[in-house]
Amino acid sequence: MQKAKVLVSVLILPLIFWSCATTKNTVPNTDAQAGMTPEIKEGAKADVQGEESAKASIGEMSPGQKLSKYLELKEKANNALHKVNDPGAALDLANEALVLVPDSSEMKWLRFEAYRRLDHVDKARGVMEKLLEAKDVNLRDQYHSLGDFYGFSLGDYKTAIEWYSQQIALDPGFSGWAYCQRGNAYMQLKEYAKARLDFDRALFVGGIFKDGNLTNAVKDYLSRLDLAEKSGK
Amino acid sequence: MIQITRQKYRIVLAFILLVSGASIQAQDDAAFFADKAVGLSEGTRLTLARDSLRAAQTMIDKGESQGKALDQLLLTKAYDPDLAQVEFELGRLYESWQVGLRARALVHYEAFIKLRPRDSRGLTHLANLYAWLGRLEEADATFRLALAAETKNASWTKYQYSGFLVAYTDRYAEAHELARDALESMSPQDRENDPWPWRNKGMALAREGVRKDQARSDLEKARSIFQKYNDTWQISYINVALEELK
Repeated sequence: MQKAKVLVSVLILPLIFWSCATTKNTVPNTDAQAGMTPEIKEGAKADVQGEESAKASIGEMSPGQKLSKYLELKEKANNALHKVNDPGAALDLANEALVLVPDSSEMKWLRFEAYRRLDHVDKARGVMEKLLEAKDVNLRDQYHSLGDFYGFSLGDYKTAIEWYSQQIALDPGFSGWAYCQRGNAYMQLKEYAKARLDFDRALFVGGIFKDGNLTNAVKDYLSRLDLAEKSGK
Repeated sequence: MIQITRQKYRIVLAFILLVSGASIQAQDDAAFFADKAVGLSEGTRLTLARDSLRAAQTMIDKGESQGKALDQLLLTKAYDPDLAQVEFELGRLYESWQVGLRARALVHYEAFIKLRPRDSRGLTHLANLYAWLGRLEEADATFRLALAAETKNASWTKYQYSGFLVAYTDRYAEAHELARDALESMSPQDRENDPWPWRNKGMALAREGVRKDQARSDLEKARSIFQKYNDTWQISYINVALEELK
């Protein structure tokens, strides 16, 4: 009986909360509608509302307001992940963005990368498998992430090499980081000659693109490679 | 160079549109402004549609105010549901790098192509999107349709197709030929200001591994034009290719 009560609470309470939230969101916004009378000038009023997206709740937003808010959250999520390296914040922002634009494959892939960096390998794998299954993906942009997932998160360096290689095959001139990480994967597999070739290639591309981070990362790997070769490990 | 009969053209186009599917998202969005045209005369509706579309196009061209542009386009659609150009602009908006909702862009380009099946611009955008989504066979078929369609944008379509062939296939001779044809049909002014046909021609020759001097010359030409636009990324890309040619 006690179990049944708990079960009912778990199932019903979220529904009640959801129902309240939905009711609130679907109340018509008379101000917004008043601004849409069919005059040419009113087209401009529709524009102005786009700027005020932050003030409106989702149910009241026009598609354009939703898009504006989504783009704002997307930028913040990308900054949090790629510039600040705060995958937790990035995950929250991506989740918010997906409420507005549920079909955003970019934000879904960002969740995958955030979970990966938060060491939630199973969640990352779950997101990845759904995306791959749905073909909701431009894999070209994701080869590197997938390589990192298999290499850094799972230690499956052979599969990681396959993903990095796909990126390199597609556009060798743009693949400095893919060469770098594939070199690392070869190094982990003790295929030192292949690793050195990839590191040289990464240095070459990094130099031309003036990518200091890439050059530093490769130099760090090269010193480890030297040590590994000397010690025969 | 590429011969496609009218009948084949229709069959291929119908197949592409059939397998691609459509999104209910587009319908949901369009419904938001559906009542705005109620009670207006035809002349008023069409005037409002024209002005609203122009406002949206300006925003898309500037690459800013994407949310406003979306509302403006949906409003245009409410005023004039038969205006094919709205679908094209919605595709352009969603495809832009700032927005990056390419699955949505696809739905709108496909809708545009249903209304204007021989518009090479729409077909070329659609082909590029198929390529981006990894649907390479559809991309190739759609590029061929674009080439067989109108001739107004032929040079643009040719070098876009050339870029696709260089990036995704090993058909470098064909890519080279298309880029060369594109350059020949461009005005002298466009030839001096558009780096892409030079870049694609140079890359095709470089990857083909023949006529390296010509490849170098084309890539240097492309680089000099990219420098005018401060496109450092493309300049670096070409520098890598030039180093490889040494």
